[in-house]
Parts: sequence; structure tokens; C-alpha cells
Amino acid sequence: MSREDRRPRRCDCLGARRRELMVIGALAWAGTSVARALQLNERRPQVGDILVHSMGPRKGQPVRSDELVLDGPPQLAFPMDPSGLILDGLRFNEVVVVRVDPAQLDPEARAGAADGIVAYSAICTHEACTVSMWNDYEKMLVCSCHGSMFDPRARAKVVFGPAQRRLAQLPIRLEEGKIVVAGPFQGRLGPQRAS
Amino acid sequence: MKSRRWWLAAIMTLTAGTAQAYTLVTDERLRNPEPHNWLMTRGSYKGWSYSPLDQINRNNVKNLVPVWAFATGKRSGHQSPPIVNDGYMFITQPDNQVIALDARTGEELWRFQGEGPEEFSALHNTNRGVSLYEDKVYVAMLYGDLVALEAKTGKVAWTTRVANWKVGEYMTMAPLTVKGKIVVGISGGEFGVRGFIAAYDAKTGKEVWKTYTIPAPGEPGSETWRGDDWKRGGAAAWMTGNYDPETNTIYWGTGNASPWFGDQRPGDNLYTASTLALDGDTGRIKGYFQYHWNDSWDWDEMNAPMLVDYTWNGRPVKGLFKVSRNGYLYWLERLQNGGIGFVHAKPYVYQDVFASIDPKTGRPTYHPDKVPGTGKKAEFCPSLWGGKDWPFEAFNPHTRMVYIPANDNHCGFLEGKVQEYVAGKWWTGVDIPDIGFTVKKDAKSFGEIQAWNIDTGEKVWTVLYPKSMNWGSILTTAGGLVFSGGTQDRMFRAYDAVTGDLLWQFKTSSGIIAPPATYMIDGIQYVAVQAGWGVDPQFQQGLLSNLIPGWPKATTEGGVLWVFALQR
Repeated sequence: MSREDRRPRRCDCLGARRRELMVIGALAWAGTSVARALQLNERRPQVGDILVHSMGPRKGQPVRSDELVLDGPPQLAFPMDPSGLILDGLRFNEVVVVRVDPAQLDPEARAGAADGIVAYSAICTHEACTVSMWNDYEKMLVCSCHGSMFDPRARAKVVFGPAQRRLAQLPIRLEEGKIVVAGPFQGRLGPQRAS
Repeated sequence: MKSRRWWLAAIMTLTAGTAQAYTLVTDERLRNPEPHNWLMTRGSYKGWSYSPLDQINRNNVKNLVPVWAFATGKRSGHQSPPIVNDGYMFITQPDNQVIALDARTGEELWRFQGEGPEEFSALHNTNRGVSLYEDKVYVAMLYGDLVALEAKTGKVAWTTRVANWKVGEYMTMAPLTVKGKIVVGISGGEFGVRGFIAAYDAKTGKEVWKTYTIPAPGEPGSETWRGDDWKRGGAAAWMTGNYDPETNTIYWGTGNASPWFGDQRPGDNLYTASTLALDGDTGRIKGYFQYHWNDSWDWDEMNAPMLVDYTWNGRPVKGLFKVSRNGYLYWLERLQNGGIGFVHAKPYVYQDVFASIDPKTGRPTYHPDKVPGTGKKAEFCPSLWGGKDWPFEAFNPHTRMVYIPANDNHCGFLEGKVQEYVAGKWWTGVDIPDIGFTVKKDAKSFGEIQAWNIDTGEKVWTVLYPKSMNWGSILTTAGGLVFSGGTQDRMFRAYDAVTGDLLWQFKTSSGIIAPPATYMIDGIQYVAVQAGWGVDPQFQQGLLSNLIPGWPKATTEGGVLWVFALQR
């Protein structure tokens, strides 16, 4: 949905318009509920999914390339399938999206990046907490539990522990300012553990 | 209906050729534990971390040697004491593991591996031990299940869902057994939970009572909250309580208020940063003591006070003694009506937040410039880890001293912001990279062991660690000894309980942040402790290495149980 779509519209037939909206809303709600019941939102991201904000005032709306400022802060996002279903049934689907200087991207990271924008699994490889924070001095991604730092320019390799393994990268491309999944996660999601 | 899929995959192995007889754990034994056993995390309901054993003593401790060791196979912070019942030893580890060993030989008897949900995240991947009752062993899973295991086989007797990990509730403490009930409390103060303590029938796992640590509207104390703030107000109950069988009162501590900044939840915020006195049968709140109102420093007061009688100004007091994270010692009183009375308080580390303490009520006043708020940066000492975090102090009735694993010369600074609440996500009002931590760079020491005479209120001796913080729970014995690890140099040490002189030390496999225990079998006294560095001491060590040139960045991880006895 673009910004224009969200502008209030004038309507000469207000009652009918309201009913129409209510029906559309009810259908959308029912569709989402059914999809959730069927656990359709519990699949991993696929090519063609669009990244949408997972929290904040624009929750559920596409992350736009022009709202990502150079060198952070990052945004958290879930993939949304082409039908509009947000794939938030799996916590491990959440990604952290950030824009860095394309010239600083190492070749491996660049392959999955678009215009300096990179997306990584937001699930820390240490204890599975959300990598939602940003070190503004060192321009690094930071885990919200134990402070592990990951370099978004270098395929999210660990630059400060206790994590010992990089975050998986989600390859992306840009389409009309939206961030579109260009391939499956590259790497393992979350920690490796018995429990 | 609870899902079964996460725990069904428990792995059990029975490697012992013949399982030895198991002595049932009764209420009577828990009230009067035998000196040769270690039946609960702090040795007794009083919470003294004291053993009457004296075969190992100040004269011969120099001859202490390891007799066997056991690799746990786990990383992360090992924080559980060995629990010993007539030859059976039970230890727990991170990642929801329980191991039963022959306490004499170190043979593995069985192993239980809880299996949590794939997407579970752990702020503190640790466990602080089991509790015992009759023929079962009880353990709290990180992901929120309470599990009862058959003590002889490790077979699952029942599982009950206690906490909802999806909203940030989890468990790390050892349960407390009280008259046929298994009492637990939840963690989650950094995720906007509403804390609770709950009791479950030891035989069936059915809930007997559940008491929230934050009152709902209309309940006593609810007037200390604004609007809906109580719903996510914190007061997690993440450490094991102590128990007074005479009055059937459980003393249980509560953690920080949530989010961390008091101006986001105006009011005293009962019962955050408090000790609750609960009826053992019903969970009814009989009384409370709040150490600091409207907490803004992440100073949890999760440890229950010790039950210890003392003399104050010539008056015998049926007492409680609390070593607080806020940097003060509290001499409290167990009142006839179940309430908690205030007697005296004084700082044991440098603390610059309290302007005064009311001599009648114990209520502090604050220096306003030391109270961080939303958009208001403030520095304060000690830092959020406090004068002492969760490690146990100990009381020795022969020396009348309390031994405290303290940390001094560290401060913090915080500036709050409003964070959006998302269930299960970090929700403190400050991002991890913005948590300020400072040390006095010219300080001669950071970690300490302090010995205080409980009757005079005076400090008797101090051990200083120039190159480490101290995260070591203390064990004291009738042998005139104080045992403790806690330093990043992997040492396990024994001190003279009277003088504080170092009598013995041994370099173990990793840093020791688990409480030591002692027991006797076939006439031989053993001292046992798990080494296994991790969680907060590890995180803090990383911060320190950025502040102090030459500070080691890391201490090696990996769990090993060490068992010592006198050389023969």
C-alpha cells in the first residue's frame, strides 16, 4: 500500500462506502484468520516475498529503501507473501535490514545486497535473542540480550562475542522502492543446541 | 491443553549396573537436614549456606585434592550446586540438563535432557539446581515447564507448564519444596512480564496456588501503580526463597520494576524490589518489605533474606538478614503476624543514590540527580549489577559472621527512552549498547569477600580481588572455613572463616559461578562445585576488557564438576 492509498478519500455515498469497507475488512480479517489457522504463515521466506515492518508505527507496511538511512539504524521486518499474508508465525523469520555504503560491502555480502541494503536473520546465533539494536559508534548490529556484535558489511560476521557464528543472510533485491526476497536464507538460523 | 511435543524427547540413560537404594526426602528431613547431606541449594530452609561438617578444617585444608571430576558437556553459565542425598548427587546445567551421579565415585546414574521449542530465546541460559521430595527430583526448565523426575531412574513422572516463554517468561531458579508442594517463580524482568510465584502438588504437578508479585486493581498495593502499568510491571521472582517452618512462611524476593525507568510507571510499584512473606499453604501475602520504591536502576532484590536470629543493641531479634543489590545490608525482623519489620540498614559498598533511610520504616529518599529517567541521563553507583548480584552469602553460627561476595568500585549510567512493547522482546527502556558501565580506574580492587559480624553490625575482614569481579557464592563450614570461586582466573579457594586468610586454592577448568556444597559418605567429607563461566559475569567481563587495559577478554567456557577431599 502506497502513501497515497492511505489518504482519506472523499465519498459522496458515505454509508455505502463504509459498508463496503466493513465487508472488505471482514473478509480480510477472515482470510488472515483462516491463513493463520492453517499455519500458512509458518513457512520460510521465498523469492518474491516483500519485507514489511514487524513493529513500530508502520508495522505491517513494506520497508521502503528510502526510509533506510546510510549506516543505520536498522529496521526489523517479516516477509509478506504475494497474497499479503505476513509470515510471522515463525519467530525465526524475522530479519534485520540496514543500509551501508555499497563500497564497503565484501563480495559475499554484496551478492545478496541491493543498493547497499542488506538483510540478515534477526535471530542471534548465541541464544536466539533478537538482533534488534545498533551500535551507532561502530555501525554494527547488536543482539538485544548479550550484546554480540555483527558486521553488516561482512555478511554479519561476529566482531564481538559471545556469539560465535555469523547471522544468516537473506538475499534481497529492490522493486519500486520495496525490498523483495531474492533467495532463501544463506546460513543456519539461530543457535545450535540440544534444547 | 498443553503441548507435549517439547518434552517427550527426554533422553535417559541408566548406566549404573545396580541402582542403589534411595532415601526418601521427607518434610522432617527438610526441616532438619542431616549434616552429611546437602538437600537444598543453600543447605537448609534458613538459607545459611552452612555445613556442620568439620573433617576438612582450617588446620588440614591445605591437603585438599581433587578426587574425581565430571565434564557436563555444556557451555554457558553453570550456576547450580550439587544436591546430595545419601549417595545420590544431582547437578543441573544450561540447556535444561539434569545429571545424577554416584556422589562417592562419580559414576553417572542417569541424565535428563529437556527439549525446548526451537524458537525459544534465553537471556540467561542457566539453571540453579533441583529440589527434592520423597522419591522425586524437581527441576524448572528454561522454557517454562516444571518437571518431576524419578530420583532413581530420571524417568519423567509429570510435567506442568508454568511459564509462557512467548511473552518473555522463563525459569532459572531451583524450586523450593514446602510440605508436599513445589514452589517456583519466573524470570523475565527485561521483557515486561508480571511476576508470579506458584506452588504445585509434588505428587501430581497440579497447581495449588499462584500469587502474582504485582497486585491487580483493587488488591492491596494496587494503589502504587498507574493505570495499566501493573500488567507489565516486572517484579520477576527468579531466585529460590527461604522458609520458616515454625510460622509456615515462605520468604521470596522480587526483581526490578519494568520497564527500568521509574517515570514510565509512577508510584512505589509494589511489590517490585521487595521480599514477600507468603503463607506456605495458600500463597497469601502476609507481609512485605520493599528495599527501594519506584526502582530505576535495575536493582533486583530477588534473593530472599537469610533467616537468622541476632542481637541488636542488646535486644534478641527473630531476624532476617538481606544483602541487597542496592548496596545496603538490611537487618530485618520476622514479626508475629507474618510481616517483616525494619531494624537497621547500612551500605557495604559505595552507594551514591540514597540520601537517607527512614530509621523506623527503612524507606529511602533519593538524590534526584542519581535517578535516571526517560530522556534524563543519570550516573549512579553501584551499577545495575549491584553490590552483590544473585550469588549466595553465607552465615556461620560459630563465628557469627556473614560472608558476602561483593563487588565495589563500579558504577553505571542510563538514559531511558520509550520502547514499543512487543511480546517476548527486550523491553527495558534502554538498548543494550546504551547501558553505561564504568569503573574507578584507579581502584585497587573490584571483587571482594566481606565478613560482617551480624550482632555488632561491623565489618571484620575483607578479601580484595585486584583483577576480577566476584561472582562466587559462598559456602561456610564448622571446620572454620569459607569456600568460594567467583573470579575470572578459574580459582577455587578456601579461607579462614575467622581471619580471612587464604589457606588453599586450586585452579579449575573454568570460572566458578556455581555455589559449592559439602557432604560426607563412608566417613569422608567431600567439597563439590561446578566450574563453568558464562552469562552475566562473561558479559560484564567483556565490558571491563574495554575499560581496563590488560583485562582478560574472556574466561574459557565449559562445565566440569570438581569434587575434593583430603589427601589420604
